[in-house]
Amino acid sequence: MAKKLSINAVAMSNFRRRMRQYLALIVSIVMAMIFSSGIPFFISCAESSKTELRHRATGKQAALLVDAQDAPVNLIEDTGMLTEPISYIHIRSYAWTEDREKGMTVGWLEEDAEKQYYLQIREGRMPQSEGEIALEQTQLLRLGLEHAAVGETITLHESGADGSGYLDEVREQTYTLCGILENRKSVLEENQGDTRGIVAKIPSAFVSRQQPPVPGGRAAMIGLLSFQERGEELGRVLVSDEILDKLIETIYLNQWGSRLDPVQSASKIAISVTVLLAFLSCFGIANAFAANLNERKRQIGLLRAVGATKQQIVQIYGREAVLIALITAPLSILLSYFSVKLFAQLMGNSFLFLPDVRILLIGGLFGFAAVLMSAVIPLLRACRIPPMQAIRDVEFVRKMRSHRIRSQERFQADRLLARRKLMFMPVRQIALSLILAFATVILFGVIGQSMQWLHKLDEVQNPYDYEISLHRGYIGKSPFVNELGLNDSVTETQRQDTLALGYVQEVSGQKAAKINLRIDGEFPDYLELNEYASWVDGNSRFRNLSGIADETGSALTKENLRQIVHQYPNPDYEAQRAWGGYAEEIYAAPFYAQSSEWMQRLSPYVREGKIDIDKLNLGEEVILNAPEKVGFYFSRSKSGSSSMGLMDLSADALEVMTASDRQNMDHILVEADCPYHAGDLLNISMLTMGSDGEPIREDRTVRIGAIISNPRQQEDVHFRFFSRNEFSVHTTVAGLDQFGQPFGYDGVKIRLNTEVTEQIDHQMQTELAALYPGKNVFSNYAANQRARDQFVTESIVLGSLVVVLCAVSISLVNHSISAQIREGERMIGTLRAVGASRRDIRKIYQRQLIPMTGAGVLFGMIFYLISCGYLYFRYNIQVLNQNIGTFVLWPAPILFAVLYGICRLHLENQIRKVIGQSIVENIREL
Amino acid sequence: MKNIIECQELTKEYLSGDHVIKAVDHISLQFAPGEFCAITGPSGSGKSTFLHVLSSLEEPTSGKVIYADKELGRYSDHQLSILRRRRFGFVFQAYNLVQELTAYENILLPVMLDHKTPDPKYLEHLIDMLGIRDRLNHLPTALSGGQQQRIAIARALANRPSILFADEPTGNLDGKSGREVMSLLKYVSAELGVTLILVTHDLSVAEQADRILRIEDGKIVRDTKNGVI
Repeated sequence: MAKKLSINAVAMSNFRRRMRQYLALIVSIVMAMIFSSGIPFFISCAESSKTELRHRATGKQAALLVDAQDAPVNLIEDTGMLTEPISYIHIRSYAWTEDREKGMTVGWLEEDAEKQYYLQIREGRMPQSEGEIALEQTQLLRLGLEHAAVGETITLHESGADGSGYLDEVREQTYTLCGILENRKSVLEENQGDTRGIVAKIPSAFVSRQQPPVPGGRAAMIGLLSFQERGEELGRVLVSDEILDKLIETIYLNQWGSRLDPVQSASKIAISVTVLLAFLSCFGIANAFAANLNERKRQIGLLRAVGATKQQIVQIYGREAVLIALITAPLSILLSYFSVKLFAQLMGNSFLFLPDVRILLIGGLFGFAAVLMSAVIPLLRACRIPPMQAIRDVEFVRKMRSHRIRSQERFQADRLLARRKLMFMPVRQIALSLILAFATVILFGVIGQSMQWLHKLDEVQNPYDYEISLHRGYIGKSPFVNELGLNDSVTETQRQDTLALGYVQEVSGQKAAKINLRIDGEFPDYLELNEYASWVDGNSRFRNLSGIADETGSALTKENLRQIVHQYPNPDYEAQRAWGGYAEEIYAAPFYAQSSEWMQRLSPYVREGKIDIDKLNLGEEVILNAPEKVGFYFSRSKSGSSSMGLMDLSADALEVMTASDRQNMDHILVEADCPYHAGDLLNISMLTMGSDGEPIREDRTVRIGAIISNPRQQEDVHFRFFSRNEFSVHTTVAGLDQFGQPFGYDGVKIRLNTEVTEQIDHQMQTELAALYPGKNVFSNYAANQRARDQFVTESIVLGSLVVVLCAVSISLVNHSISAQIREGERMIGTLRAVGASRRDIRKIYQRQLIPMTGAGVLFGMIFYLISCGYLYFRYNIQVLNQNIGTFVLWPAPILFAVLYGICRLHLENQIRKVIGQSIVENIREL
Repeated sequence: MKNIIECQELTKEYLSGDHVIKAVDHISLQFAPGEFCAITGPSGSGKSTFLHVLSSLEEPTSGKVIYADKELGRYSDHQLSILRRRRFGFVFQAYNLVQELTAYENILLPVMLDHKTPDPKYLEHLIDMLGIRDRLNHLPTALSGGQQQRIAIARALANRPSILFADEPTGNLDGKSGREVMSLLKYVSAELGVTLILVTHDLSVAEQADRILRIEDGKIVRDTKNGVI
């Protein structure tokens, strides 16, 4: 008995008969969907990972309210911006073992605060009963208890908290060490960037809630605040006039730095390309379906001609699409899931695999909908074509007739046919070229940046493994020579203690101070304008320099600028001169000191004279960093804002000038050669703050031993050593100590005697954090790891984009060629009948592949060349590298070769199938 | 007179489901140079298949086709391509012009595939004989059926072939156009001395031939030259 012919049966039969074609379709759709659902899934994982890593490092709270017992908490709650009620850490006492300076605050956490503060246990557990204590690892080291094991008893001296301060009474307290915690306080210190004051109150040891309070004490409290985003808005509210007075000293807002976000920038890129990927994926799917349907237009026409309604056609082909969507959506979800999981495994600890299944499901649904939409839209369009038009392919005839063609008297058949075929589908060719051009430009970017990154890794060989620096690593307005040294600088004892740590081979100290260069004779134009102009320009009383120049009706020149600034002398500068008792003009320059070994590293940059370490150590000579040629620029933007300053105009500096430097260079008002030479005497003056707060002035005349050019490109020399100042004075640490009162180090550089591993790095960071509380601990190893993680993530995201673009392009080319071959089978048969060999036939399509795959790549390469040329000739190689990466051309031919190779393989396969049939089979009509 | 092409025990079988269909069943024939031979028979009798196998468009299941004393079965694919472009001409029922080429380019196609310089005098003569001068720069889609078939004939003869194979050349044309095309085909092949082997089911067309073959069930049942087999 005959089976009933249902629409399902027709759809399934179509599916079975064209299984191979459908398989190709399914593969291309799965590829497209992996990118459309996989990338959002990756981004969601990256975001979750980033948040979790941040929470593990700093806690889930967004801000800490120190001394919360004195804060108007009700005002904060009234803002309505808190997402959870405030929970509290109670400060019980300040405790230490032998050295009070190396002590810590001890606290306990309320139940909600325990969840919020999210302490990570390294070993053991949190305290649960009276007499138990858990300490952060760094603190154990500071207390000299590095060998203490969980379960051991420790004895501490303790002063009970008394509100914002501590009781005078010191008592002895014995605790059982129940847990060792991951560092939290040192991370918060480092994150905050300024550790003096309030951050010192954050506890690094915790007891249980059952622990009785210190007799006579009054607990201080730290409130944990949670609010949306990162608190900028709440921060603005909290420092508003109403609560400013009470809160400004107590609020502590976490500044989530990029140091804690290894995938932050990658996520941003990923987000920006997601929409593009989703669009391209849809485009790829739609194209695959459209090509599939186009081949079957005639079949649709025949079905319509024998009486099938539009609805029936949609049902037949729609059910195929549903079936495909049902196969592809789960498959792509699974592949996406495992791809991201694999990526997380490759990234190690910097990427936690925290999948959000909802995102995957949304991605799957999006893919499902994309497949259906991609199938239905071309299907509806195909159904609208009258049956006979579909059978005859009137569209093609119309396309042909729209072209005016002149007969060729002689021709190469394969070449002419390839050209004509391309001519009849310009839209596809243009779309293809645009996609490929885009892919090429992105590929150049990815490769260029990767090369730049690898080059940088190769070039920046920081000889030091760790660096300790003050958080405030800048020279401010203070006129004192020892401005930085005044505040918690690194001591010689700390340097010696560091040297005593395991693995440490060398600890080199550096000092930064401020010095006034006394200018004998006339104040050089560039220094004078620099000193005066910024004050005039920044002062609202005088509107701005440009306004004044406009009033005079003339362009801003050296002469009228000088005239203007003399009319309005800078009172700060004048006051500084008066305060220091200077009759002559002065120029404040930074004064840097390094170890003797380090100073030798400057030898390659000596322009005049030589570095004599002995004379530097004795304070007889200094080294001057000064440009060969200097200028003062004043530029004014379209918005009316202005910028000005000194600029290094020496040939070396021009080579590495940034784009904005180049723009400023167009507005140089004054140029001068370096006024100093090796052997010249330099009058320097130092102001040291006396015990009464009054300045103690000390003038010296020293010889300039050598003049060096600022080694801008050499990051290992430049890092934390040269400021952006055009002039700076350098000597050895021993040399600096000859000037004024000796003061502490601005920072130290540490070199280990072994190669740093993850384990050693962790140990060193913990030990250094313990040794240098409140200082910035820079780990070269960790920085390189972060850079590597970021590079890998960015490369994967951008690489995915290139792969998608190439896949879409290949799919377009292959579908186009397949459709041509299948639709043109009769033409192939005819050509074979009139004597075309297999080679002739193959060449017709090969010749099309070259422009199809090559034109876009060529356009992309031209665009890239123009961009590079502009940046190079308008600016310099430095700007080119910053914006585009290393200039490379080889990716273009490789991309072309890969695209051409893949498409060629596909072509060979298609051609072989057609040529494998007899000529008569080729020619036979449907 | 020596034969230009001959076949010996030529057989072509097809599989249709589980059944083997013998479209050509052990046919042996010889064709003389300059001969005009019409092959007739009912639909599905195997006349077109015989023409395809004879003209090397399809491989026989068994048997031989001998052209100029050489067996075509021993030719490589490339040699067969050269043979088709130089020695054989084909005219199909559905014209089979290459849509992307103009009428003139279609005519030149076999010459260009052979990398030869076209003989303008010969082509002019051919074009004039077929009366297609004013349609040469048109694409096939802009031509009527009759005009397309004339272009197809010109293309088949462009390389001065020895044999012209025509498969129902008037099958898609109305009576008037069909008669015109047929008389042109006959005239041109006689004029150029080409052997014409033509498949048709139209008796009026067949009657114009020097020799008529009738095929039924893949076998020659009548040959006006050799009598009934």
